[in-house]
Amino acid sequence: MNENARKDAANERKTLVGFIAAVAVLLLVSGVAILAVRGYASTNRWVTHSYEVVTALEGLTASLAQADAARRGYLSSRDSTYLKERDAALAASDEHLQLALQLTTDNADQQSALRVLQENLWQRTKQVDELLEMAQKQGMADAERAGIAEDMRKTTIDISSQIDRLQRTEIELLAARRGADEAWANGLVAAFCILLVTVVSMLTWLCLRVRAEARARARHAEALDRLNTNLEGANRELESFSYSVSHDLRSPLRAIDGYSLMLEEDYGPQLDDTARRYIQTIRAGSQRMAALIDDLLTFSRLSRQSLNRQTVDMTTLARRAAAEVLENQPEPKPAVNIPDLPAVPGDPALLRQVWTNLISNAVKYSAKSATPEVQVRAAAEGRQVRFEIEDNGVGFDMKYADKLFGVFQRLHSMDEYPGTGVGLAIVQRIISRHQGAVTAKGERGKGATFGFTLPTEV
Amino acid sequence: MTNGKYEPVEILLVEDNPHDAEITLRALKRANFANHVQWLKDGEEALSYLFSEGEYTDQPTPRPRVMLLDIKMPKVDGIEVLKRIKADSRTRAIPVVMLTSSKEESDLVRSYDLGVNSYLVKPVDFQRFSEEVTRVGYYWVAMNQLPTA
Repeated sequence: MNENARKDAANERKTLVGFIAAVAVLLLVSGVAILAVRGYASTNRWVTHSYEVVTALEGLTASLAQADAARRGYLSSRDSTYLKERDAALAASDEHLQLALQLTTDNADQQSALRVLQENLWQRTKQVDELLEMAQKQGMADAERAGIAEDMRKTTIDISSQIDRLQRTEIELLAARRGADEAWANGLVAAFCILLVTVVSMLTWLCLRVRAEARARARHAEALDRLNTNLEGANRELESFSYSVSHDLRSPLRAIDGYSLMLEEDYGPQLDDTARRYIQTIRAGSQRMAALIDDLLTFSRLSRQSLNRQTVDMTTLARRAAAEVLENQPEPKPAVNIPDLPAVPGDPALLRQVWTNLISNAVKYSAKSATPEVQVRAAAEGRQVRFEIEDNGVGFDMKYADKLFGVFQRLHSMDEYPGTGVGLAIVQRIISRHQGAVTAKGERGKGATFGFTLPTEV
Repeated sequence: MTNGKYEPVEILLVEDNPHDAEITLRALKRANFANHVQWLKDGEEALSYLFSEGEYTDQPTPRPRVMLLDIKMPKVDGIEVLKRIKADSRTRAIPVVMLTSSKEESDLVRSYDLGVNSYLVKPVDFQRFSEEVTRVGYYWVAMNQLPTA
């Protein structure tokens, strides 16, 4: 049984560990899932960001084209509304440039490229302003000759190629980010799959384990049931055995005793003293055997009888037992001192028997002392109470102490002190059924102290 | 032991063991109940006697003042006899005292469940046994009151 219990405990531990591991892996899967979702969201953010940069750069190109168109319009018509249009387009281009600068704060290369672009734009605006001024004062032909227009064209090409480069860079960046993201996503999916497979296999394993355990438990329960049935059978047998013993052994004893007495009563005058002594011996023997049978039956019932546990008032129990014992005790009766005792949980009928047996022993063995005295004591000892019954009687030799609680063990002859030798065995059986212990201390001629402990909690 | 022609039976002893019966009858004789005792050797005979069946068909229904009933008997045991007596309106009023060798808790419980009037365990010591039987006889025959038929 013990081996099985240990196995059960080990199995339970394994199942628990498996369960915890499965939960841990599940948590890991959840973490991976969260990371994947967040990675996807950040990719999205980057894609949007790249589109924003590209859009800003496109806006910049468009505004610059608009400004150029307005400038050409003015130069051919000299209509000053074209100048206003141009100013507005330049302002718009500046806004687009600022937006691009803002969007690319995370990228130093792009920032510096944008700064160069800005320089170029300023330079070009200055050139255009110069061109316009000259065209206003001296006419377009002079302006062409001064080479300003030529410079301007060169700057224009620079600018558009710079914007192109910036756009291309941004698009490349986007592609690189997407590639990295895809690798990350693929990795995640793989990890996710592995973890899922792990969780599923762990759960399957756990399921199988739990089922196997349930089956093993059912088997144990079955075995236990069988054992219980056997035990019940054995118990019933024992019960009917002790019933027979008590009934069938006592009947012939009653006949022996009864007919011996009849013989004595009816034929006494015809018998001599020896014959009458024989009859007395027969009667004493049968009565002693009856007492032995009764005690043995009490003793054997103690093992089977279930405990009727309740809070027991030990003071009352001990005092009543003492009164009963002293009632049947010839003078001089020993003084039995019983102080107030703590209450303990237990079976009152059985504990009463303990007090009766121990007090009657103490009284019996101290009765021949000069001033016979029996002292009862109780003391708390942690989670138990120790009760002691001390007498100043004949005591016993400690080398026989282990024999005291055995069935039919006696340290005195029947002539000295009558008894069946079952009393202390009954005490020990009752106390051990209450999860307590019995003790005996003594010295030949100097009294004995019998003690027992009882737990204060059940 | 019955001289019962003129004396009504007052004590019914149901006991299978002849030695126990003799000891009980001796005790009752000493207490001067001898002429009022009917000894029946087992449960079957007790039932025949009480319900005027079998060899007792011709006798009038007896009305003993007490019945001393052993438990462990062959054929019909004491518990069965008690059950039959207490279940029948004709015999229900007869006081039944269990007089048995063993103090078996289950027997006690069953007997009281079935309505036994008293339960005694026969002591081995003949003197004590004798005293008890005498007391039982006096109590149920002389002191206890029964409803008139």
